[in-house]
Amino acid sequence: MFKRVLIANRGEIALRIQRTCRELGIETVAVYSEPDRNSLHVRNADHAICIGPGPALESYLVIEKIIDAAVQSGAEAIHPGYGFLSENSDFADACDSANITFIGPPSSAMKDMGDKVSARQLMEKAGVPVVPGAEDIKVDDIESAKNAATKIGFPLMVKASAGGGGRGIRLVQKIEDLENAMRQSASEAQSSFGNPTIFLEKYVSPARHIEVQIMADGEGNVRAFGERECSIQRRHQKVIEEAPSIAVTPEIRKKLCQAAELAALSCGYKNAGTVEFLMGPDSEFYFLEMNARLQVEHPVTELVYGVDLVALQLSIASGGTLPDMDIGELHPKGWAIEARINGENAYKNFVPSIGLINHVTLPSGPGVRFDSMLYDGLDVPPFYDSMLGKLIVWAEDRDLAIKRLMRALNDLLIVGIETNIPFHKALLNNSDFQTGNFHTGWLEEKFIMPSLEENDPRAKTALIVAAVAQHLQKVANSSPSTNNATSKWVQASRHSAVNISSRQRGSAWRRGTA
Amino acid sequence: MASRYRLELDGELHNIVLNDTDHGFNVILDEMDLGNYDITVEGIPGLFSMLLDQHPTQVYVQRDGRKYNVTVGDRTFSIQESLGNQRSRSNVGSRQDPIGILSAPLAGVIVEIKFAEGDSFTEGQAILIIEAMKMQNEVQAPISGKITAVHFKPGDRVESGDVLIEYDEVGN
Repeated sequence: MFKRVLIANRGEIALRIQRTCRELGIETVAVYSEPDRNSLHVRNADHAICIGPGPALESYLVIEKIIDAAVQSGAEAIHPGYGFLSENSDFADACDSANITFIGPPSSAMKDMGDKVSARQLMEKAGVPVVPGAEDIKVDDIESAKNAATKIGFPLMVKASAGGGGRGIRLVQKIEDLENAMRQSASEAQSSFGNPTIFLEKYVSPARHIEVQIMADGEGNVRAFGERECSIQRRHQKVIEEAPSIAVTPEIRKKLCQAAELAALSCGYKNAGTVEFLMGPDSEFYFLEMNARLQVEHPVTELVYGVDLVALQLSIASGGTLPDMDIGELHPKGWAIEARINGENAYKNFVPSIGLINHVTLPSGPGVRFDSMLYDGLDVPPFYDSMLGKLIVWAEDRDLAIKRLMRALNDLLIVGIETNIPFHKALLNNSDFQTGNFHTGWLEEKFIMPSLEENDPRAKTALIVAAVAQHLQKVANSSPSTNNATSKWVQASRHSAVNISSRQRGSAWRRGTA
Repeated sequence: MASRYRLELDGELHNIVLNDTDHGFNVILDEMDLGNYDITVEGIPGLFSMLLDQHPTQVYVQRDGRKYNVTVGDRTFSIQESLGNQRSRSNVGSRQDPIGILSAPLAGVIVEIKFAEGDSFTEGQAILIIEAMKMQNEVQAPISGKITAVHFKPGDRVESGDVLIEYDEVGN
């Protein structure tokens, strides 16, 4: 096993990886941007190295700086977390050249899976069901494309092979619109990715987003850890994830796991990965893409299969083989749900909310896990995504898990910025969500976020407390220490009133001194 | 002893009267007697625990000058101290500070202190000037007195309520 590992990430995922490292006796090296100096991932690390200013392009995304930090600190391996450089094959290659182990798949597998047309072809060859489509189409041969499209059927999607982030995608309802869509998609793909290759895909709708966690040791051993249900999405971002899925029976799970294992074997995959599928109402499923990294939502799998995926990643990366675990891939235990807690205003179209966290009360108790970067006094920097943490619960079944998540959301108090907690509560109260009656378009098409309650009885409470706070401030200031008339109450009020947090005058990065 | 407060929430003014009780306050909100609140602020600064008729509520208060951000559950209310209150207080000549103390009526930066320890002043004289939001504000003597302590110097930043000067009352 490694002695020292650099974690090329920040926020909750850096903390989560550190925890497993500490349990395994591995020293951790944190890298951080200047505004992240106050982050927990810096405070909790064994070594911490500053890699530049706030913008990720000048810090967390600079390959040379990360490699330098690893060399300088004597780290033998780098865990990339998710996002940032986690699926960058150049980074994996740079690690290899520096004789540092990249904790993830080989760069060849990343490249194979990063190109959608080559991934589709690999999957077809391996016998993994792919969405019916056509890869062999060209803008200057519209007639063949039309023939292919007619075979697939409408509506269909035109997609970019190098695609990502929704760019280069066109939905085509009828054959007359095909040529136009293909031209637009190809030119967008050229300008966005420098690669105009496009392909056609049947539009599977309504569909669920079902993904399978796999772990491969590079020695031909691959194990699937069941599915995750990730159909609740806003703007292509998952907001709530579950394991298992209410729509997956043991028979379907077996097929899904087999398909995912085939997918991993087809590209010589190693380490943790996720194979994403679209699943129609008829329970037919199709390969969508493979994510070559640890996913944000990995904890729900950990909870229902009783595994530490990061520990497995470290073990495999250091040369270990998949342990012969008696976990029974077809039998998840209980139910896990994860809610992503984001700094955004659910009542104002989810506009980002950043700034100083005055206070946070963390939820705990049976079946509750909160992976988060939050602490009292954290000033959330504006440079990164809005996810503050992930609230994950486990319970015996789905109904109990929903109740437990609601309980934990009620226990979680975040003061200082707006969060999407009210959204999660409204979602858990929705009958379609409760019965599992949803698909990838459901949240944006069907779910209506209730507006702020008028005549909220809590306003009365707030007014009373504001008056009391003002009063205590006055009492504290007007009772000099020589005053004898200090009842216990006055003493207590003086003590606390002076501590009523006054907004800090901006942390170092705001002042520009960091 | 009754203390009156005027607060503004969503553009509406509210009057709150607090009467001390053994464990908190009797609260009258907009002429409605809401009963006796048991209130404790021990523990985490800013976190208030209230009991009304054995029913507990937990609330977090964050003060920002004359604004209070009050978080109840997953909702935060922004409440302003009403400036009307300030005017009415000076109109009737009542004092916010007890005798012997002069506190900062607002947050800002001390521009000038016109008196030193040992100096005497008379009621209504400008004692010092605080600048906030590029406006200079005179802090006047509520009564006549002799200064026993000066706690700040020009250039210092003060928060609303900070004790600026201590003095002995000088009888007429």
